[in-house]
Amino acid sequence: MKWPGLKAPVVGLSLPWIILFVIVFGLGRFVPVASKVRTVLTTVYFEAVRDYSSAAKVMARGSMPRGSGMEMWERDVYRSAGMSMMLSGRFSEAADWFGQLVDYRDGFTGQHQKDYFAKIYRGICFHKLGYSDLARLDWQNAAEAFPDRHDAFVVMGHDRLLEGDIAGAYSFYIMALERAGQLGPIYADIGDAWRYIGQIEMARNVYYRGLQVDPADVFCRLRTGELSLELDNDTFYAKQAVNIIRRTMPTLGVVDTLERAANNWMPGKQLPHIPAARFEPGPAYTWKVAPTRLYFEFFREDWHGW
Amino acid sequence: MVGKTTKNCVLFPFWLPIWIVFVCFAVLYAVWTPPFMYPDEPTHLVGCLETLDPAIRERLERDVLELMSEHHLWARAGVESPVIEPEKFYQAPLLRIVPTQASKPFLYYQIAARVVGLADSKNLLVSLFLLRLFGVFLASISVAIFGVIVKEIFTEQMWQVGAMTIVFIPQYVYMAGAVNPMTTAWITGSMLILSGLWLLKPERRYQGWFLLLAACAIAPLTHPSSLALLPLCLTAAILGRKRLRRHKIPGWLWPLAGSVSALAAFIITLRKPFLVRSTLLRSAELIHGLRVYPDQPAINPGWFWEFSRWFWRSTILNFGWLTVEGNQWIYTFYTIIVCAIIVGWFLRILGQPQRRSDGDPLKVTVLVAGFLFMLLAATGPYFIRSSLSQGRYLFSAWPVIGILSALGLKSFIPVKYHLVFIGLFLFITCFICSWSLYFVLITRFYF
Repeated sequence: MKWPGLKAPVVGLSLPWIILFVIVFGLGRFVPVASKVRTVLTTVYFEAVRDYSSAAKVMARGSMPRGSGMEMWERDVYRSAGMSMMLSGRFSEAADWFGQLVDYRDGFTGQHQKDYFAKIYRGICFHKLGYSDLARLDWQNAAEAFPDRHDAFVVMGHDRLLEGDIAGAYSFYIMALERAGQLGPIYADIGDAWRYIGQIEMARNVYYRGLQVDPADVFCRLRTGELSLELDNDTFYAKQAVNIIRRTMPTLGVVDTLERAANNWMPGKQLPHIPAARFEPGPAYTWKVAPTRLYFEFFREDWHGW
Repeated sequence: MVGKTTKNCVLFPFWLPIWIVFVCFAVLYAVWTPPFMYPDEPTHLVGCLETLDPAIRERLERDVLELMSEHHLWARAGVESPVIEPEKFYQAPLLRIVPTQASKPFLYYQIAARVVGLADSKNLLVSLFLLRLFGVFLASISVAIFGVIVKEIFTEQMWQVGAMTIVFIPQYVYMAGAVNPMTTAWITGSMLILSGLWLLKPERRYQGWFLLLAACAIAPLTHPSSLALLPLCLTAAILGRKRLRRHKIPGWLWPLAGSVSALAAFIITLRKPFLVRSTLLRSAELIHGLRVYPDQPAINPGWFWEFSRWFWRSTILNFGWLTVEGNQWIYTFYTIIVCAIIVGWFLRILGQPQRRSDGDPLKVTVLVAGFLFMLLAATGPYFIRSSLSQGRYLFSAWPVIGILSALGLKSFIPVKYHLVFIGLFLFITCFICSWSLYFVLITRFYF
């Protein structure tokens, strides 16, 4: 089929783009301006295919243009790279990327910005790698830099509990709850830690306390549903919990596991491990459940990343 | 009035009364809506003001949050919300979650900042209401272009008015006053529609190409949602080729257009890399959306019904953060009208030729293509489970929807009742608009 008159528009419109492509990706290393454009496009490509480690490596070479939100982008990429490495169990690389954020120097304004969460996560990576002293140093620094936040105290409490120092853990948890006592997910997190070391009744009390202060909290609801099955064989309460969670947070997929367990429950059966929050690798700004609120998943000894 | 042509309407265009009433309604909505209750208004306000001086962003954020805790409707009603008290809920303030200037195109903010600069007021509330009126101004331009568009389709003034009645849907009038770059997308959307229709007319083809290039150049710099209408222009260009065969476009125009667009892309990537990143990543989300959650089906029929209800509500009457919902009779009225439009279109397609007396078939095909693409762009994000989809994203294609609705209604209503129907339709839509205004007034003065 002949298409008269199409040659001119097709060639005329596409040729300048092909030339631009050759300049940017072929001669990029010789032309500094083209090199910046190439870095931008390559980083975006790696981000689009969710290869954050490669995106961060490209970005770290330092030929990005500055200003116009670049520092925010750079931190997003480092955070996503750190998180995805951590979730895939590569703690050493994750610690490196979080390290970039811990004392981030803005290349445009020259200001130093301290990243509270990066410090906590780097501490967790150190903990998993066996460098407990470095980990504690990071958490203590984070707690000193942001004394109003609860996260570092929760993490230090978990650390003490796993060391067997129950009194120390208890005091850190109290300090965390003094700062965010109305926040349900913290109770779920602390309850998980108690449950992990075998203090089931203590854990149950903490979960119920969480529901008392924050009745809409789905994580405490999930845990009370689990314990009602495990300790009381109460399938009615568990199914009720499932319904409430579905109404409150329809996107929480892990509730399906509890529903299956409640439907097929046999007394004496053991529940599969149900993570309270779902960690979704992806750009930091798209995380539906902020992983900053639930740390105990990272501390479990049988957790080596997904 | 029936059958009268529009040739003598230059001095007093038929759409002027509609335009005046629209502007009055939009100004009233803009003035009476409580501060910070338009969607994402605080972030867009900060985005506009920081353009004047980027160094004051942090102070602006503090001032806006302080004002919100005093003037925000939820604060006055005693409702606890992470929007007004983010620290209490351990969330980052919305202003930091949505960094407008960094992630959104800059043209709206640059112009809006100059408008605010004219007043030179230190009072943030004065700036806010000034920007709302600027939004009304932008929307009024798009309504004026709407007036030019309907003349391309309908020969009768009566149905031109009938098609334009759609601008009185309360959500549309309400959003006209928003401090939001969306209103600029309405202008570029109307420009794209008009250029598509002009591309089909040999005597207007140069104006059509000029308008198309201008709209394509402006749209990515304002709010790219209107670019979903681009297939409308491409369809028009392809369908109109037969008509344009007699005329030849100069050969040098193509490499020039290609070079300008490539150079523009290069400069934008260099100057606004964050904008390029957010645009490309958003496109990539469309591909990723289907495989991010492999344990759940990509499309669930249950969502469709939930979505339909929500989408219907958010197109007609759901005012930003006010979340005012209308009485059931309002939704019933619009549902009946939509049913009449659908039946009318069946009659138009299957019925006798006199039902298709109005509307050039080529132009109608182009508009239908534009409508379908816009619908896909506005609803697609919902089905890949992203919160980016909203009914108001269709507003860039409002002239298309108005014209297609009027064509359907024209086929459905018997000819002798046309005038009565349009009079009644105009009256009822204006009444609903006033009725909704009453609810906005309550929220403004009751709390």
